[in-house]
Amino acid sequence: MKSLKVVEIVLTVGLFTFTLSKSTIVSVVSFFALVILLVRLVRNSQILKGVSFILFLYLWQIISSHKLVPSYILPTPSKILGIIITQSNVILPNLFATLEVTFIGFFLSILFGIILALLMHITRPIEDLIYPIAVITQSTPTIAIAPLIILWLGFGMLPKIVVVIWATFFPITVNTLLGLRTVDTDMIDVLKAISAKKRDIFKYVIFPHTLSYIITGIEISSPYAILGTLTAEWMGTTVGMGLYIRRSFSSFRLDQVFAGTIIIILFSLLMWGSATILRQRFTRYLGGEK
Amino acid sequence: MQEVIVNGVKVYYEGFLAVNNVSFTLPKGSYLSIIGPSGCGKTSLLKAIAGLLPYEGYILRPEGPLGYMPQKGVLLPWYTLLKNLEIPLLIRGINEIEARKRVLDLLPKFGLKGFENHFPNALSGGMYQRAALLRTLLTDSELLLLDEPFGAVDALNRRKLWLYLENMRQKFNFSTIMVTHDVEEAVFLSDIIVIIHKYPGELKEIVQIDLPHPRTLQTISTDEFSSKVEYVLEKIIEENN
Repeated sequence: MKSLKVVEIVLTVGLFTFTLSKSTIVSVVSFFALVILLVRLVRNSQILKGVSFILFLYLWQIISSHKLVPSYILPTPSKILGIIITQSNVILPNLFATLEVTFIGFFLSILFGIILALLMHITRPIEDLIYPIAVITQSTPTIAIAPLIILWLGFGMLPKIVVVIWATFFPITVNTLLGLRTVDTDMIDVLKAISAKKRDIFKYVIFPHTLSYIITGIEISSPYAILGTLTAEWMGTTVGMGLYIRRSFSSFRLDQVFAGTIIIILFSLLMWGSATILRQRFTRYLGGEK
Repeated sequence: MQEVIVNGVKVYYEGFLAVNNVSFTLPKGSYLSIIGPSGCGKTSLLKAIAGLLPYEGYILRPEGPLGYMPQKGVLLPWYTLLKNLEIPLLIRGINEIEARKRVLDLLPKFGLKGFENHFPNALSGGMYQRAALLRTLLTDSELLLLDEPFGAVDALNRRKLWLYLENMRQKFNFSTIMVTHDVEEAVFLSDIIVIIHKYPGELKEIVQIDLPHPRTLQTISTDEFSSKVEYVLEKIIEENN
């Protein structure tokens, strides 16, 4: 049993060395052999999920370093990392501008989404009037509406914020409304019977119930916030990651395009991850956990 | 003195007549059970008495807070047991320190000591109902309105809870209206049993239960108890045919 483990480890290291070979065929074939071996060795699905990203980057590195695809079309991951480091003085101001718009826009979108849901909850006619329009906004591609909004509102921060709200408010509204609609009336009855004020019913029942729905809406919307900003920046701005990527694209600096895109993906994931953690924190009581 | 008077009450639930022309009175400090088959409008009647559903006719109920316990107890899942029990006190303006002290004092009597920081979803079915009952008592209401309070509790714990409630009645002088479909439970706890027809709910008969208080487990094995249970059962079965 133990000797088998040793054999496997030696085999893994051996195959890894072969992937570094100058010969393209040896390198690619040993890479896939390595993948098969790893799948056999690593049975833990969580670890495998983590390994998958590293393997993907490594395959990318092999393909582009062997010039299977010209490097001006597909730069190596190591080169992209190099760009991120050497150009950080250019990237950082753009990134800050993008994040600023994203956070302000998303915050306002949450407020707007909740207020819209509250309005729709007040009476049915308001819902009937607002809902179809809200659905229309969601069927309009952001990429089509962004240039119009910029045309109307100029090149400042405002049009970008509007685009972010446009791209993200809907799931928040729908979930908030669902939360308001699914409050258990028995819970309210208990409080009504002891002549609780409306304020108390809201504080103890309606708000805590709806909160977990609002957070779920935020979680669903969160990856789209930064994409909204990016779309707006692509259409016209003076600073931001969208502009950085677009300029890099126009000058065929695909390494910079990749660098910018990867940074955006990372921040998008970060926002979604934080929202997910937030939701789990606020719904832990459902499992009865402390 | 009458605590509750229900006179010719009709209750509509979602547009349908659920309760038709029911009348009864509940003297102060007594325990009344409304019994009848499922779907006969018992819950609607209880909600009307609590002032939670509109009705036609006349209902006299005590002023001030009412201890209403819905069918599934419904503790608030986002608060700990302790916070759940404090809420009726907090709403009435009692300060947090005093509310906490009162709740903590009562927890052992309900077998809930050590569970104050648990969330409701972590409690067993029996514990959950006991907690909901305790919350109802903590409203300090003259009148408790209980909708199948022990429906989800196993037979063993159910009898314990009967005894507990009987005991509490000797200490605190509250009146109770309970909805149930368990005849033994109704006979054990009640002074008056109101039997309701199938649908829409109409008054079938009012039965006085004059077994002496305090009732104990021995009460259940007496002939008087069994004959009362049989009598009520007969009335309900008779109506189903």
